[in-house]
Amino acid sequence: MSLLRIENLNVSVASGTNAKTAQRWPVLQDVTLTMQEGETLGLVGESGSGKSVTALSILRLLPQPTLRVDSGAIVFDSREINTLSTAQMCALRGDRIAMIFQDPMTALNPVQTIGKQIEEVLLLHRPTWTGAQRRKRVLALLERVGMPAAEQRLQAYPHQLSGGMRQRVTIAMALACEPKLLIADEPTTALDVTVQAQVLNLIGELQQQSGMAVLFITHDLGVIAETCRNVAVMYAGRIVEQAAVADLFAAPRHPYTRALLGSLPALSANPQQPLPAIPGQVPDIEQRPSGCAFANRCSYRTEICGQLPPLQEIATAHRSACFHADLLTADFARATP
Amino acid sequence: MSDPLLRVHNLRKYFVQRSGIFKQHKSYVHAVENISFDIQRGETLGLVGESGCGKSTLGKTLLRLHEPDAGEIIFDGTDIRALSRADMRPMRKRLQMIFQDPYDSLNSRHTIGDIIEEPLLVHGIGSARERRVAVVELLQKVGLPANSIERFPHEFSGGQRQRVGIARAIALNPDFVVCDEPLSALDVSVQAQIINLLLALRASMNLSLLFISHDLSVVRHLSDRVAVMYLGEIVELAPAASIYTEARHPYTQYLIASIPKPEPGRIKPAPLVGEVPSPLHPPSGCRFHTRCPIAQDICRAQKPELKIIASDSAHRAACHFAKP
Repeated sequence: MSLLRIENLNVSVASGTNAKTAQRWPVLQDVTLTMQEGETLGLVGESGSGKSVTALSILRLLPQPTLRVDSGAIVFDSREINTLSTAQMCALRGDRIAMIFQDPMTALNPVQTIGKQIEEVLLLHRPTWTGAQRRKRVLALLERVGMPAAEQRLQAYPHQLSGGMRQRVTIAMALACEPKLLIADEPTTALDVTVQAQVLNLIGELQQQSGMAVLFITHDLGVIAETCRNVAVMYAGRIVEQAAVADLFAAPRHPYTRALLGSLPALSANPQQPLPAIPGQVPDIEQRPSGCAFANRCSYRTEICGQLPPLQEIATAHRSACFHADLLTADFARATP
Repeated sequence: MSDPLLRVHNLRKYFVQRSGIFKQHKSYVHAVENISFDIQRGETLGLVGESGCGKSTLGKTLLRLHEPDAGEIIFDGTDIRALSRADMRPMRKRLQMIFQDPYDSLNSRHTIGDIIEEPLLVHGIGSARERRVAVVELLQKVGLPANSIERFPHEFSGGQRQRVGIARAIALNPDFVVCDEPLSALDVSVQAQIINLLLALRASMNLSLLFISHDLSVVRHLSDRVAVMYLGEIVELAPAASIYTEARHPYTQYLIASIPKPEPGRIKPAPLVGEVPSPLHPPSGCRFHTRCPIAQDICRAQKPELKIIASDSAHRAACHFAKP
């Protein structure tokens, strides 16, 4: 029984200010994802590929009516959440599904102490708890996320904390009700590498203790390799490849994934030499082709790529949306020794 | 070895922070502390470190965009720190900068042509027609179409804007360019394109670069030598080829180990404890001792010098325990 199932999700965006009359462009096209309980799924892609929109759709936090779910099903814990009322959705958010955001400064209220902000989650979702119970829980949460001198920090304001500590606070808020699914949207992008290592480690530990599932959104393939079990690669609003992390990195079966891995200046690659960069750029949302969106940058392109390649199972638990996935099998040897 | 293009000796930059009702309390942010290094002609020195370690301040201080408090900056035989504003002006032609954010560093109300022409105009180079020709050539050099000239920054993507920033920096045919995190706002696939552009321009123009970044893999790819900064000081300086395999300073070793690598199943190091201390009150002795796994009493008491530690005299580290 899967925890989360997204089926053929289509989301569109309105161009211009008047959402009623404006033309709409597809942002997400036929996104299908499944997550089991306790699974870590990485969602990777470049800016504008639709990673964050997928996350916001799950929580129904899309800025309506500019962005709108046109069709598709989102089933969480055996319930179709697209049809829930606003009140039911509010009860779910922060309790069963929680989210942490990229920028911990804008995610926190600057004029409230961090103790109050964490307590707010409990006020909303645990209305029968007494003040003493809540405060005890807040302190326990701060200690669990590794906040030094947690008791004194209850009274601290966000500006008094460093970026890494702020991100620990947002993680504490997300964990307050022990959610079954944590959505982490670029949680370490704003942090330095050494702090990033601390935060990634923390998320991993907390997940092992609590058994929650984590949807990990990032543009950093290195972060995916170190934190996730499975991974879905997005390009121009579609999932183009999906596999277990070990399989994807060992043998990518979509030209985009392969090119992306190839263009990383890995520490062991040939320094000073030109990198195999992907030519051109991601097509604008108004100009996405009807066929394969990667075709104009792809070295494997043929005539058939003018049609839309379906996301097909090409090996066990490995799916790729490329007509030429069969060509991309053995010849991929990464430059790492 | 010939004379270096740039020689920096004991450079220091503090920022004053005032607090209290009448701003009567002064404290100092120790942003750049007694830094010395050379850059040869055509060489690229990579500068890595975490936010707040002073790497951008160092880059700007070298160009006197911040006035240094002490030390020497000898560029091609001249101490530019001693130059008057008027004498500094012609020197600026030879010293340029590429900025991090391709959105904030271009004036949104100017056309691409105006932006790239501006340095030529400021320094009174050529007639209007000659400048126009120069701009078209520059656009071609950085891989932008000639019709970009009449267009505005908002019509371009991040990678294309960064190309404009690069065209502006090389317009005056400089000898030395400070690149301050020029890739960090870009997506991975675009990042590789800009890296390739910088590699090509460096070779064709014999540029010396100070390449500032927090991304070690990018720095190693582009640089001849790499300097690692921690809290305003250089803790290690080594050839790019050896710093990643033979890092001698515990901070450098940790920094390298903590980069997430696209290799599933890699054994990750235990995270470093704590955070970077405040540059307002840097720790005594070795500034890294508060987080260092091998710190001893001597590290708290005595500041280690940046000294040669390997048979290769180009490899220096500031650690009491770095093995020679």
